[in-house]
Amino acid sequence: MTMKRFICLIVALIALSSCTVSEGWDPNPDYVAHKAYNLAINEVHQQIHILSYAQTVDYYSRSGDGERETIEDQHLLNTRLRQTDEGWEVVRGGKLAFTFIGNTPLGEVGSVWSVKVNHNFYTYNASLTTNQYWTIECTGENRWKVRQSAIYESHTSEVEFDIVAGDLLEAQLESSPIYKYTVEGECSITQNEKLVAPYRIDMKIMEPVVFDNYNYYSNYKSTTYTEGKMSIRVTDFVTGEWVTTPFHYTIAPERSNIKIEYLLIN
Amino acid sequence: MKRTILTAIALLIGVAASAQSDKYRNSFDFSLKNGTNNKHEVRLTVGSAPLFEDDFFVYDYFEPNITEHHEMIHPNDLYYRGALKTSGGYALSYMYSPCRWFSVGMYAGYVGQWQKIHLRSTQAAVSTSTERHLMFVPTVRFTYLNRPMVRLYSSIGIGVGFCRERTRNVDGRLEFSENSRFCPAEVTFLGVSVGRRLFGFAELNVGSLGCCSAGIGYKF
Repeated sequence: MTMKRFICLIVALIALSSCTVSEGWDPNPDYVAHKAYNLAINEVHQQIHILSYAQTVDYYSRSGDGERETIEDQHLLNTRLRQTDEGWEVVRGGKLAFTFIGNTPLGEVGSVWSVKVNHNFYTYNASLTTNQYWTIECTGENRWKVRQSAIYESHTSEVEFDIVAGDLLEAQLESSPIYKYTVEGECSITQNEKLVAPYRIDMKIMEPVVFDNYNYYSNYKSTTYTEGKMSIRVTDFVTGEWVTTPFHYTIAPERSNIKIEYLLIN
Repeated sequence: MKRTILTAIALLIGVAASAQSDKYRNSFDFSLKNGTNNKHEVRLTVGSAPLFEDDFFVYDYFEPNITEHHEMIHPNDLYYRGALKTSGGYALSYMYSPCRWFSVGMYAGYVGQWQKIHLRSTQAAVSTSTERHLMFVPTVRFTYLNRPMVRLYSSIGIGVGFCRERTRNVDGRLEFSENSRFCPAEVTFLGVSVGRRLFGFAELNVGSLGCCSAGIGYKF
C-alpha cells in the first residue's frame, strides 16, 4: 500500500510539473523604430566613412615619404593606397574596395571627386549589385556634400548629406571614420520587395547628427553618435500605409537617454 | 528509409536477445509472487520539457536582434511572440522482454505547444499559434539491475513524428497551416521502476518526451 502511494505521488508530481511556460520575446513597442533608425544611421555612417577615406587619400597624395609612413602607421594598418592613372585605389583585405577619381585637392571649394565602389567589396553585409559611383563635392571649408545612389541586393538607397569635418580621431580607417563629423541632410531606403518587404524608410535630419567615436571606445554603453534628431517615416509602398507611426528620434550620448516621439496623425 | 533500417535493427536485436534466453530459468519470472512470465508491459508516461529537432538546430521563430545594425525591416518585426506554453510529453508504450536484460517496443507520444502573437505597437494579441506533435518511437531498453521489486535500466529510441502547426487570428480565422514530419528521439540515461505487476517508474532522459519523465506501468 505504501509503495502504491509512493508511485502515485511521483507520477502526480511529474504530471503536474510537465506543463512548462518559457519566456516570450522582448515586447519592445519601439522595435521597428529602432530598426529604422539603425538603417538610417548606417547610411550616415557609410558616407562619413567614405569621406574619411577621401580625406586621407587627399592628405596622403599631398604628403612626402616620411609623412606617408606616419599616416599609414596611424590610420591605414590593414589598408593600402595605390595610385593609378585616374586617381587612387583603396585595397582592404586584399580586395579593391574603392577608387577615388579627382584631380583637384578635395578641400578646394567647388572640387568634385567621384568614388567608384567596387561591387565585389561588401560594405556592411549588403552587397552592391554593380559598381556604384558616388560623388563628394567641397562646398566650403571642411564642408562637403556627399551624394549617393546605390543598388544593393536587399535595398536601394538615395542619399544627400552635408557633412562638416572636425578634429582628427585616433582611429583606424579599416574600422571607423577617423574625423569627428556633423551631418545634415536626408536619405531614403527602399527595400527589395521580393527579397525583404515592400517598405520604404525616409529619414530627414532635423538637428545635426554628430559623430564622435571617442565615447564609443571609452564607454561601451554609449553610442558613436552623440547628438542629433531625425524625422523618420516607414511606409509600405504597395499599400501606401504607415508600417509604424512616423516618429522623431533624438540621439543621446547614452543609449538609455535616446528618445522616440511618435507623431499624432489626424 | 533510415528510420526503417533503425527499426529493423532494433527488432533484430530483440530476436537475437530472445534466442540467447533460457526458457527454463525462473529468472524470467518478474512477478514471483504470481508465478507468471511477465514478458509484456504497457506504460503510461508523462514527461517534462520536451525537446525537438528545432531546439538543437535553428528555431523557426528566432527572436530578432535589435543591435544588428544592417538588418532590413521584415513584416514579422511588427509582431512579437508571447510565452511558449508546452503541455509536456504524454506517451503510451508497449514493451516486450525476450530476456531479463533486454526489452524492445514502441511508444506513441503527444506534445502540444501554444503561443500567442502580439502586435508590438498596441501589445494586443492578434493570433494564436499551436503546434501538435504526434510521434511513434521504437525503443530498446537494457536492464542492468533486475530484482522482483526494483529495476534499473537505460533505453534509447528513434522514430518518426508528425507536426501540425496552425495559426488562427482572434476571430478564429486560419492564417497559417502547415503539416510536417520530424525525427523524434529519446535517450534515457537512468530509469528506475518499482513494483511488481503494477509499477511506477521515473526516468532521467533527454528527447522528445522530456528531460525527466515518470509514469505507471503494468506487466502481464
